[in-house]
Amino acid sequence: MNTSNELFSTSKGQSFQCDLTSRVIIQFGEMDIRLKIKDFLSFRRFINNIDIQSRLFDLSDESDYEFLEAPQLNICRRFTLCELIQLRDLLNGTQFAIELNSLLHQLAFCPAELV
Amino acid sequence: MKDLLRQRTSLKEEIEILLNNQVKMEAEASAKYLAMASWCDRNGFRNSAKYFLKQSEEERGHMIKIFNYIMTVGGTAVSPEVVAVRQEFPTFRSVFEAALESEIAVTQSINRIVTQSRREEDYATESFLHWFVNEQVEEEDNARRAIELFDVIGEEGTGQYFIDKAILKLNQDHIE
Repeated sequence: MNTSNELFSTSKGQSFQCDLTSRVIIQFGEMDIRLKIKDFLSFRRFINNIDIQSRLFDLSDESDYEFLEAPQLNICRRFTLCELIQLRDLLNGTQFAIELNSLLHQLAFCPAELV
Repeated sequence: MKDLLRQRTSLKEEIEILLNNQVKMEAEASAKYLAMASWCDRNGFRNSAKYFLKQSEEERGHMIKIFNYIMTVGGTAVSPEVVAVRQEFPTFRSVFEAALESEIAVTQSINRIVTQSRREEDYATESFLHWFVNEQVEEEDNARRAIELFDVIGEEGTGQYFIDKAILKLNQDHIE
């Protein structure tokens, strides 16, 4: 892995981009997943759509966890609400870095007279 | 570092979300028309039931059209979750009023996506949506004409029977 392609990091995890395989690598706790960009965007959207606020006010035991199952990505585990918030931070930061990179590419590939 | 977003699709994520929401809306509209068809059938309005069944099929067609577009441009199409729809209506007329309301909501939603795609300079999506803009004119017209029948014919006596008969004609007018 080329660590110079680090996208984002938090105290709980890191994300990288592998140019060789065109994958986004998410390392979060014991989780180490490699996602195609489309899968990354869908995964991020899924995590962002979990209504954490309503779960905080829900006193039932089931609302303390979210069970994530993605066999294709080899993910099959429970996430606590804290972990979900931390994962969300990591994914959103990664998304920001990917978008920023894309924007820089757009500017770099623009004909000079248009910039 | 490679630009992974560019490799994926030129479809912006926000537009992709809006289009997927539209897929869901069309699926819900299809389900609503099915409920209307069922209500009309069990209340003896056979022609109206047929009319709504056909409308339901059309809405599903719209859903598939958008779904297919998202896949064609490299986006992620999401199979929609259809919520429970209203099954009961107080009157024959209210069924058609609900249909018109639903069509207006769909038109407004399409317009919002057109506005957004123009803002994002996504001309492919805007061009694709033009078909829907025109289609909604016809759909709304259909729904409005149906309600007009209630005013023109009147519901007293055998009025509802004749309205139901005229509904069939309305459908045929648009098929031609």
